[in-house]
Amino acid sequence: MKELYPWRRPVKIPLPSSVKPQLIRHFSIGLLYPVTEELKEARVKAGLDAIPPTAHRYHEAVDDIQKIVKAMGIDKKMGLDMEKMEYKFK
Amino acid sequence: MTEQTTVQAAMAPTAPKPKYAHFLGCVMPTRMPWAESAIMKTLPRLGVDITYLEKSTCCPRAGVWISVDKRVWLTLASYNLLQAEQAGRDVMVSCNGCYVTLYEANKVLRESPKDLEEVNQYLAAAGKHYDANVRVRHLLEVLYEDVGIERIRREAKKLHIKVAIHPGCHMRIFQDGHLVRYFNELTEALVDEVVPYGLERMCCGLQANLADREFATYDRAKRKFDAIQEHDVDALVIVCSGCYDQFERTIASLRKKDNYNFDVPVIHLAELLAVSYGIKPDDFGMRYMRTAPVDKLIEKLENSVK
Repeated sequence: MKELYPWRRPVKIPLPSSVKPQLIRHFSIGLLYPVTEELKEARVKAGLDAIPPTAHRYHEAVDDIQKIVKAMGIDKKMGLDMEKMEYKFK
Repeated sequence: MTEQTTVQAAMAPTAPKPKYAHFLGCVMPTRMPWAESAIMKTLPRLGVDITYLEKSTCCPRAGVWISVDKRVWLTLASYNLLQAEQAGRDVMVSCNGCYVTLYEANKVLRESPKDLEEVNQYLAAAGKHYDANVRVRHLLEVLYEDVGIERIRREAKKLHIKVAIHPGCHMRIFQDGHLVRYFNELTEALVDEVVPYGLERMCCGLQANLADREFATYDRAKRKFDAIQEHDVDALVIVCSGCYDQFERTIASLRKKDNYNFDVPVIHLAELLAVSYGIKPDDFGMRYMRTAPVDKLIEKLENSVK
């Protein structure tokens, strides 16, 4: 391909700014929204456990998601440092 | 009657009772505890064997990942589906967005051994494996088909309120439109009147938010709110957590920015079902974390079941 199209290069398509923080939350807590003190209170009043039985309670699910994301190499494609949870490209 | 319904009806006398794991998604457990509680308290009363789908993560958002990287969508969806598979249960979802993500991913993986093999290579990084041996069912299908619309019509106490409904775009996933029909019929079975407002099919604006928040707020959500407020209704009924998320955010933003007040409470179908089957609103936390005060609505609901 390079012989045919010498100027063709891979390009970095910027992630939409509205998606960037969502992906950081997804990969750091497993879900898009955290559990707040107000929520814990409302959940108990609703007759539920204060912490939902999702990745919020089971942190090993977050570890699993991070391992899978790294195995797929999408963190590098997005320029996301999974240790610092920061984007390389602003 | 859909093909799926016909098959289930034919199998009914001998088929084992389905067991479900409730996939909560991101929004229901953190923004709508009243909906989660209403579902988990009411379904067992209707004979549905339901537990939580534990260790769940974001579905993930189909609108983002299907178009960006199919492998990510299939693998992260599988991570959720395999939790139910390990528990020997099918998946039940209330959010239309999560339903589309998980249903479509499961369909691809059941029909394509190549995709399933690739997904399992990535899941192995976390020591996991998925065989694609679960079904993904919408809450509306569980209520309408498993419990049975006739039973609900017969047993449910009619609630003397008038409501508007918002089905949501992803409820139209099937060509035969059965999910929308189920939503209409179930709501009609529970309340005095479903009031048409003309913009039922309009999108809540959630996906448009990613590109243009002003458009999503003023040309989508607010147009719906304006149309609904022209009618005398006690509540706006939804089942989709994604649509709820958009409505909640937009209502707060319009109130702060424009002093615009959408005072029609946005509620979940399961809350109506819960009250209709004798569960008190305070038992599922109906008063807390609401977009609008619900005291008048609760009074009407409680008077209906006295």
